Amino acid sequence: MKTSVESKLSLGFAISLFALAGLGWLSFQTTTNLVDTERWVAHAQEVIGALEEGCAILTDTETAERGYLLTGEDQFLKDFLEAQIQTKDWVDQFRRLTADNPEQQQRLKQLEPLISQRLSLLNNRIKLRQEQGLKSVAGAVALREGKTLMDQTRQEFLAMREAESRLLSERQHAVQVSAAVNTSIILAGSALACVISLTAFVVIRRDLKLRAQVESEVQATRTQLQSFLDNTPADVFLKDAEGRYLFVNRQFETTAEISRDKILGRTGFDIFPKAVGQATHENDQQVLNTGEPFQFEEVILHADGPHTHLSVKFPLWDSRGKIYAIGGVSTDITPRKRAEEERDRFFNLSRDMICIAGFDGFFKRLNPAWEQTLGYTAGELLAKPFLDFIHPEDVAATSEKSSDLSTGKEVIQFENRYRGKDGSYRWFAWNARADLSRQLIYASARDITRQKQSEEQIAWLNTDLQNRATQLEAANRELEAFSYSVSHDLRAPLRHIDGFVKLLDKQAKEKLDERGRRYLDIIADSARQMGMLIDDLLVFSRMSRTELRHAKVSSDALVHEAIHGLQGETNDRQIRWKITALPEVEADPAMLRQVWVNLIANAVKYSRPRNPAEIEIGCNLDNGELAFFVRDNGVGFDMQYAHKLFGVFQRLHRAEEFEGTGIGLANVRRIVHRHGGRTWAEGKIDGGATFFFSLPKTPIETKG
Amino acid sequence: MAPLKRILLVEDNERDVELTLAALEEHNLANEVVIARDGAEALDYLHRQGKFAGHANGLPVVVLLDLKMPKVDGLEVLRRMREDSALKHVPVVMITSSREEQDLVSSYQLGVNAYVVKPVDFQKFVESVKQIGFFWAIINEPPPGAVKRPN
Repeated sequence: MKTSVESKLSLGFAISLFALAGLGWLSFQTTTNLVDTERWVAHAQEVIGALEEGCAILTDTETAERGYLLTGEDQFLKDFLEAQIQTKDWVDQFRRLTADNPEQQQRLKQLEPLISQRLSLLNNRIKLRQEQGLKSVAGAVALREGKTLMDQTRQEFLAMREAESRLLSERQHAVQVSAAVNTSIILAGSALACVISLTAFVVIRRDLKLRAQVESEVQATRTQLQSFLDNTPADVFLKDAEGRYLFVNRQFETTAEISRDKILGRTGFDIFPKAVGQATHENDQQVLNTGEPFQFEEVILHADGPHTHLSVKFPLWDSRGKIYAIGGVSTDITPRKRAEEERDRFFNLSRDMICIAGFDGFFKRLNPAWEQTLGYTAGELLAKPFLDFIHPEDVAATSEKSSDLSTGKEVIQFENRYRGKDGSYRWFAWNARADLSRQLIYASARDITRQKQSEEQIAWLNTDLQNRATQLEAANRELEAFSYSVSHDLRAPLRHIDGFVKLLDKQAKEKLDERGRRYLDIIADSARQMGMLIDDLLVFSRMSRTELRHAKVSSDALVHEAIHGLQGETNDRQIRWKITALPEVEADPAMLRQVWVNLIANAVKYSRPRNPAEIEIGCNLDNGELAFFVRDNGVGFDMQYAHKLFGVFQRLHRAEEFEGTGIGLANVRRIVHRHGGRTWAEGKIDGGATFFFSLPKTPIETKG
Repeated sequence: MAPLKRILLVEDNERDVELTLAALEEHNLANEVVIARDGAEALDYLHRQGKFAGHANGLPVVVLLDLKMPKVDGLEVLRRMREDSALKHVPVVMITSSREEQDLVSSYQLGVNAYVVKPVDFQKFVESVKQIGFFWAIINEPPPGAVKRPN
């Protein structure tokens, strides 16, 4: 484009120059011609002048001759002789003057004899006059003779003058034409010069405008470039071949902590510590020597410590193929570097086995955990397909998972066994994903051998536990059957004893003495006692076996029901009841009723010797559990036997003192335990007793 | 006096039979008592088959049924009676030593009319039997088909 414009411009100027030169030459030519022609005009005029002069001389000759002829005065003769010389001179002069004109030379040749004849005539007459006097020459013939010759001469002169006048007129016309041509050429030249000037003006003005536009565009581009470079997070610089900085961006200033105006024009040696300057210089030399871009990592000290930079320096070539500058871009890769180091550390320190494997079945990269876990070197593991290290039973599953991975599926918690260098197998649990484009599997495995062993142990223990549970269940069933037998079969004989004792009593009352009747009473009483024991035992056993049914239970209501149920015992007794408001609880209503009945019945029973008896019923909130209590002022107990109170068949009193089977408190304990509570008691011999039971605020069911 | 009606006592234990009869006798209720010694016999009687083929005529006004018996137990007898359209309205009273809740629930589910636990105390036992006999044999109007003994 540029060349085209340039060549056009050159061509234009060449043509203009050529045209102007041609016109100039033409103008020169015509002017020269004009001058020449004008000289010829002047020459013609000179010739005409000379002819007139020649005529005049001839006339002078004749006049002088006539004068002499007439007067004989010497003066005339003198004049005549002078004129005669002049005539000869004139002829010579004229011949020279018209040397260029053969026509006039020719005429001159004709004129010359005429002049000579005339002169010789005149001379003859003069001689005649001198010798013979005036009379000899006074004749008309002689005069006529001279007149003819004179006319002939004059005729010749006229012809010559006419010819010369014609020539003059021709030449004057030529001058006119030549002058007109010259004017035209000068006008044309001026016009062309004007056109060229105008064109040049337009072209140059346009060019200047264009240049201004281009310059502003260049300036804009330069500003954009500067903005880009200043906002680039990398250090960017340009330096000349001697290492002097030509340009640096803002990041460079920030990194170097030196302002731009103190950098430009200086070298690395001027602005950096010596070692850094040296290193910079060496890098520059590398680029200058090889002429190739040079990439390298360098550590640069920032305000907050050393940073790793990835730098590249490259040569800039001028049109002559010489390196005139070195460009450089240096990026702070510290965060990336740190991330890489962190990742590497993570990779190296991981207890899990991390690996990259190819779809070709070989490991590509392994972390040190592999060597530590299996005992092989990394080289050994990389040398063989990974399937070679896998337990024969797991090979099929593993290769299936590998092909799953190669189709883009994930592998989660896949377990297989790897053979260690010592021949033992380790269980690995795998999580893996593949990068299909790279044909690589990224996987991590955890050594779960111990976990597996624990699992096996747990499985074994579970089986054992299950067996025990089954046995326990069988035992429970047997116990149930036993209880059933007790309830049904054991009671029957008792009933029979009682029944038949009664029948015997009826039949043989009269035949028996006092002692015999007493024996019958004892037998009946024992049977009844036995019946009560069996009943209580059955209740106790039932309490353990029946499922709890939780419901909201009003403790107040249960307490009042229990007291009401004991009316038979309390009717003829004086008992002072002190009952505070009790909270609602969540429990099995039937079982909890049994608890209250047993405790209140006990209080009533053991306070029998007191008049009045005092029984207090209440509840404390203690550590998030509700502690209910029943306190009496009865016979109390020795605290050293407190631990026996809640045992089955445990009694602290003889049956003659206080009837009972020793099951009641055992039942209380069992029920309270099943509700997740506790039972305890405080007492003193003859100082009354307090029985406590607690219930958690949130009910928990526990078996047994 | 109102006519006495036939009572079927199903009880495997002969001592219990004797005591029950003694209790009923005390109140003059033992005259029309038929005794079956196990569930199978009870069903034979009710279906007039086996030992009782052609012997019996008419249904008892009440069956006093022990729970635990050899061969066919009380619950099974009750179940079969309730399945039999001819017998399903015959009143059945369980008289048993068992206080087991499970037995109680099963009995009521099968449609027992009353459930009495035999008291160990003979006096109480006599009283219970008397009241049962009195209610079912005298006070209660049995379903049609029950045998009444003219007084």
